[in-house]
Amino acid sequence: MKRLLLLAGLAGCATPPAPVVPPPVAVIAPVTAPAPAVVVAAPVDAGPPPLTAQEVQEALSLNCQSCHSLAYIEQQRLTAGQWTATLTKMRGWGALLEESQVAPLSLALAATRGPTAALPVFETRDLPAFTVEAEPARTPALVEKGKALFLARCMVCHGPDAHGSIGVNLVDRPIQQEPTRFAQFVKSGRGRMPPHADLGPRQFKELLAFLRSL
Amino acid sequence: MVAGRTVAAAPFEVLADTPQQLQTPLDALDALVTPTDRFFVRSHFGAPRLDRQRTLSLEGLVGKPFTLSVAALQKLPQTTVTAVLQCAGNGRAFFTPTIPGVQWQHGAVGQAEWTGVRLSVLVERAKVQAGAAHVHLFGADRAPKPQAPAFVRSIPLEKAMHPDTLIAWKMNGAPLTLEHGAPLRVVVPGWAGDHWLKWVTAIHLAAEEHDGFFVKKGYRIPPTPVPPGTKVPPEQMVPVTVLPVKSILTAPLEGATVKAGQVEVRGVAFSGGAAVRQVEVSVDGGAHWQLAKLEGEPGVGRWQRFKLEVDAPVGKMRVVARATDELGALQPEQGVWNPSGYFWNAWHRVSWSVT
Repeated sequence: MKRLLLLAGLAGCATPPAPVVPPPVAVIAPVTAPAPAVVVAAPVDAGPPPLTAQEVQEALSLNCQSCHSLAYIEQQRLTAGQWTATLTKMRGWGALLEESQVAPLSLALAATRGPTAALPVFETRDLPAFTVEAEPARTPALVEKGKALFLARCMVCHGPDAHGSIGVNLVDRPIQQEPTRFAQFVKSGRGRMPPHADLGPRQFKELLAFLRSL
Repeated sequence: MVAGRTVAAAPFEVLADTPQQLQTPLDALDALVTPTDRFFVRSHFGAPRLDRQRTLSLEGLVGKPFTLSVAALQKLPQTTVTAVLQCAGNGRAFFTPTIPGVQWQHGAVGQAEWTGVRLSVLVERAKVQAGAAHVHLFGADRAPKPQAPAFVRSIPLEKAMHPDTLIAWKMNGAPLTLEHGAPLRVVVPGWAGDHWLKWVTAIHLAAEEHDGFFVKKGYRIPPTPVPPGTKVPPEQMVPVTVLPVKSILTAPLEGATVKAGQVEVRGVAFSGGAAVRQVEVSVDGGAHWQLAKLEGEPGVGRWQRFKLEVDAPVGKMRVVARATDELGALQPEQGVWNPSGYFWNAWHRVSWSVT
């Protein structure tokens, strides 16, 4: 039987999620035994089965985390109705979630992150410090190489001007200050983005130089 | 490779990494000025590219529109204001029924010294035309998807002309960090943080308030309290502006263990509407109150520290604080629920053990 699991904890939390067993919605009595005294009726309108924890995680990974940390979701405590309103708003803001996914995902999220869920204990830690100086100077040659690479590899999803379409906008975005994460996403892919494993530090530098020139 | 030199940062509570939502722990609020490297960080879409060469344009219903570099702005008369910056959603996590949004508790607030040029100086230089009543504020940050609305804010011209309203380039005496809006941000003392637009690049004078999502739908509150859980259409709400009176206990903190005897209770208190008149502390859950001593210069939208020595016998201490401002507004026992969870200012209650 597929069971809902708690969403994974906050980003960076090492504790594995504990399984939660929901109360059974309906039980079909075995029909092999003769004349059972109790017959449990099948639900009138059962609808599709609830999403598994894996399906929830996959939906969030593919549709949410390209724009924001999943921590945003994991700290909410909302009814299914509130989740539907939020997911609908996010679809309007460019999330690639299908309309048909909104209802089952809302139910699944309300089951784990409903109004009575506990507020997560937020991680306290040192951070990559505040940025006080601009990135290293870029040369026109670097920008030109980055542009050629962008047009060949990135434009299809991120748009010719890098302002985003299927993929996210890359102009004036925080990722420009995070070269390590930038390299990781390009090399390994993320969510709907395919990996570009053949690219290396030189290309990452060129791509960032181009994006910073826009 | 590291993008730029950085300064060491102390721990924050990380509500999210992308975009960064960093909450200041309560112990860092136990001061008149909050250190920049522990000052909370909040934005809708995260920081744009750091570019200290960005310019500021003043345009719209003005006779002489202009564009100035940061260097040119810095040649104008400079003003420094000490003021509280508090996110409108600070305390959202405490409301019932629960409300979507970043689940801030106490630490989306801080006080800093802000240095810049008065916005009124720039507006006067541009020669306001008849009919201008609002100032639209545009920043360099961009949404992750083109379908998402830009974060644009609007303040009435009257507030823009207030002598404390600044276009700032310094925070606590140092150039703004990218996270706090470099190279330029708006400073609107007394008003909620959504007006303090970071990375500001353009100021547009107009007859009406801006018609974007973050003015017409976001950052609005019912003009009078509604029953918790009520749905209120945005057009029946008004912008969140003046910070309500509030006190926060900063020592001893919740769950602390202290030695029996005289213990100093400390905190900060502020109001966006007026200076703080008094802060009262109760050690019996609010039945009896004692006046705390205030420290620091009083002012609108500026916090003062409060201190009170209390006698702490062995056992459990339950301490509550409440502030009153010079307009007579008293911090309420309960937060006033509203659809987006703004302006939580209920009595701050902590309990600690005395051994």
